[in-house]
Amino acid sequence: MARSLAVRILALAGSLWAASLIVFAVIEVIPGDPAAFMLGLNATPETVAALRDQLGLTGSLPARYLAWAGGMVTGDFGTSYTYKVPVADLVADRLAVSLPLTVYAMAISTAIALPAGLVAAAARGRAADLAVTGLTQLGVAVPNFWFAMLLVLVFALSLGWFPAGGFPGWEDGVGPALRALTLPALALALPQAAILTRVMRSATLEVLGQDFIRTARAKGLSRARAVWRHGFRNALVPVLTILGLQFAFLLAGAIIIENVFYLPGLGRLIFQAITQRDLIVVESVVMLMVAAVIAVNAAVDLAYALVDPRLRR
Amino acid sequence: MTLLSLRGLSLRLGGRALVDGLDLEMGPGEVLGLVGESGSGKSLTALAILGLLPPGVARSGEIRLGGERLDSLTETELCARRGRDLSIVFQEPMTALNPMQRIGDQVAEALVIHGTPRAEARRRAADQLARVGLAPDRCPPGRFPHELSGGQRQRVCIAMATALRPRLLIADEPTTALDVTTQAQILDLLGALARDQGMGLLLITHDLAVVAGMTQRVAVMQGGRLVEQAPTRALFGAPAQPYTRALLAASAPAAGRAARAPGAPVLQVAGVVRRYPLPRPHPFAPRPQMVAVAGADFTLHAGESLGLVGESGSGKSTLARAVLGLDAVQAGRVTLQGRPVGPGMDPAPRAGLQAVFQDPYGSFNPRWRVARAVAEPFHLLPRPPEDAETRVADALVAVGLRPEDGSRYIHEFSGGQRQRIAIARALITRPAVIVLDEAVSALDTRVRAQILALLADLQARHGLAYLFVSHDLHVVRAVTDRVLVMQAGRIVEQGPTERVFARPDHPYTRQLIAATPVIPADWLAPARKVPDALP
Repeated sequence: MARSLAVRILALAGSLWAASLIVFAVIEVIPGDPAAFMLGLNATPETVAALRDQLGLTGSLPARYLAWAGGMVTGDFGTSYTYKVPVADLVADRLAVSLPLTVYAMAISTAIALPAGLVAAAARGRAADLAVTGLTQLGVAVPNFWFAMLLVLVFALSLGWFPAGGFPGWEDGVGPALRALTLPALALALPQAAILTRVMRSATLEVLGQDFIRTARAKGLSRARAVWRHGFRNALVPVLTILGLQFAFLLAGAIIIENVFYLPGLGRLIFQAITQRDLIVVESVVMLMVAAVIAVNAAVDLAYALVDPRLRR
Repeated sequence: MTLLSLRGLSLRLGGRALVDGLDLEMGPGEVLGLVGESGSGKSLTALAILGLLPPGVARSGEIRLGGERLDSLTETELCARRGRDLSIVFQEPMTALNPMQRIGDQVAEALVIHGTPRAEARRRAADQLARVGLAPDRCPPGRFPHELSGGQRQRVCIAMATALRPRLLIADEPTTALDVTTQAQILDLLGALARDQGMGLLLITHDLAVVAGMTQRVAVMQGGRLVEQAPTRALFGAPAQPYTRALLAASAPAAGRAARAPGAPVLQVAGVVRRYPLPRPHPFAPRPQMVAVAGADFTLHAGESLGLVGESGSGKSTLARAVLGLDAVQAGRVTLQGRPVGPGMDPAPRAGLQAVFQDPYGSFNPRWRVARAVAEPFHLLPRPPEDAETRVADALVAVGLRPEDGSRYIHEFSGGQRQRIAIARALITRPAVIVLDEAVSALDTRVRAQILALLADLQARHGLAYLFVSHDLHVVRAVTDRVLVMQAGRIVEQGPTERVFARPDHPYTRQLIAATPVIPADWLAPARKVPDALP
């Protein structure tokens, strides 16, 4: 197990390195001057030259790559051109919103989807199944910002249980921050939960057709207990795959919800950086996303092995 | 005092009667064989007794266990009896266990759900596993199912089913998926448990030879009805019903083929070695090798049937694939009429070498019509023959189907018919050699007899050479001229079939033959007189 972990970490580092090469190539090597691009049409040659220098665009390619990659390894991502602050701080601030939001949303969607999928599969073709499948149709079809607006209308404006937007920061304690993240997390979670429920339902249905469920019933387990004791864990493997994909998507893909709730998250940061041509921020956030995806995939692989003894070696 | 009694048990799906008015009784501690072909309703009867019928199957009639009406119990009451008073061992041990749970836990669960405290259940589960032959030092309760062989998994299932000493154990084809040697061990185990625990054993099987050695009484089912029941010895000696006679005749194929002069050599296998690389234990280690075939030599002559027998894992299927040129060999060579056979061979000589595999369901593209599937090997030829359609029709007729069957889809055919289509597909290029890899193993006794007769007829007419790979020694003995016995990748014995079976040289061959269940020859005398009476 320790050895395979070491192999995995090596592979992880290799993927990160390959990704850094690609990001570097796209931003720096592709024809066109990033500095001129960032400053727009009216920039003087002097300001372009100054920015080129500031961006580290002078010098040989390998030297520039080493400086950039080396900086990232040591936590120095450079300074944002538009915000005039270190990119690392900028990203860290945004991650403090996006990461908890993502985890919160995934926790909600899993908490809804796994039981709903299980119940639907166990009650296949009956009322509970039809209700769950119908709701998942709705969840997949309706865009999340519509949910967001509905949630704001009901829980923020009418009932006043949660704030309608904004983020107080973590300094005032966990309670208010979580309260501020609850509605956005719900809005993000519902469509994901719909997808996850369908995956869980079909995975469970497949498992329920297996011989070992019949064996469990022959031992004297009731239908419900056989589903729970023998079906659930066997159905988890495909669900884990979807969870991994959803995590990567939610981390940076929450931009619409961040906008609806005025949250200072990663999605908005990358959107602003692109419109303002702040390539240093774009570069860093892209690398961060790549790292997150790779790390999540590795975590999903490990989780497979935890769930399924056949995948342990 | 009866243990199990079925009165007028009928099972219907839609309007169709799957089991029709079945009356059956079993005494306490009795071992009863329930025999019939697939579709005769025997497995459904077992599920009905347990109250585990598939959805949509309607049941009527009475099921009593020890005087209690099982059919009028609620689901909760049934759950309390399943596993405790009556339990079952299913056919397919590879899928019968939850892959995510340790075997000890799965056995313990059977105890826990009927009220044993968890710690005690664990201890008793370990004892129970040891009793069925899974000693804790060699196969501890902490193992997962995928770490066990098929025979070991079946032992786990038996441990689970007998943990609470039920009064009735139903064993539904418990050894059909296992090797002969493993089969003998599992049957011994079931017999011993039934004796020691005074447990009634309902042994469901299609193989009369299995029943012969095990049971006191046999009931024969056909098309959902009970056609005959009698004490085992009496039934084998004097079967009253034509169906029973036909089953008996088919399950003991006439031993031996008429000796014939060997034709010219068509296929030569010399020093063939097949190795697989295994996963590296760590990234910088050399890859370990699994030697599946360690040097095989034999020659197949025109018009000859050569048997290849051995347990699963002995390398016989790997050798068959190498002979077919599907996998590259690591040493040695295979030649067909002097031309080398291998993955890179020309298509044209490959047309001379065809195969029929075991699974009549998995070896066809379900979206193709039969005629297209049968005509597929034509693409091996430089150009399709002009009379392709006629030849497809001829091939279908040759295997006992009609030319118009070519326009139907494969799901419209039964298992035996599909195997006929597979043979038609193998025949279409007029090959010199056909490799039959467990080609009749998935078929019922009577259907198997028909397919074997068809193969013999085609061989006589076209001078085909067969390499007949099978774990079923009865069949190999009946239909082959010579036989190769394979163990752990090596051919340990080869020779004329009758000689090898009558006077085996190698201890492994003797062990295989001893493990094969047989119907004692003197039981059978009257049945032999009407061998072809297929109702």
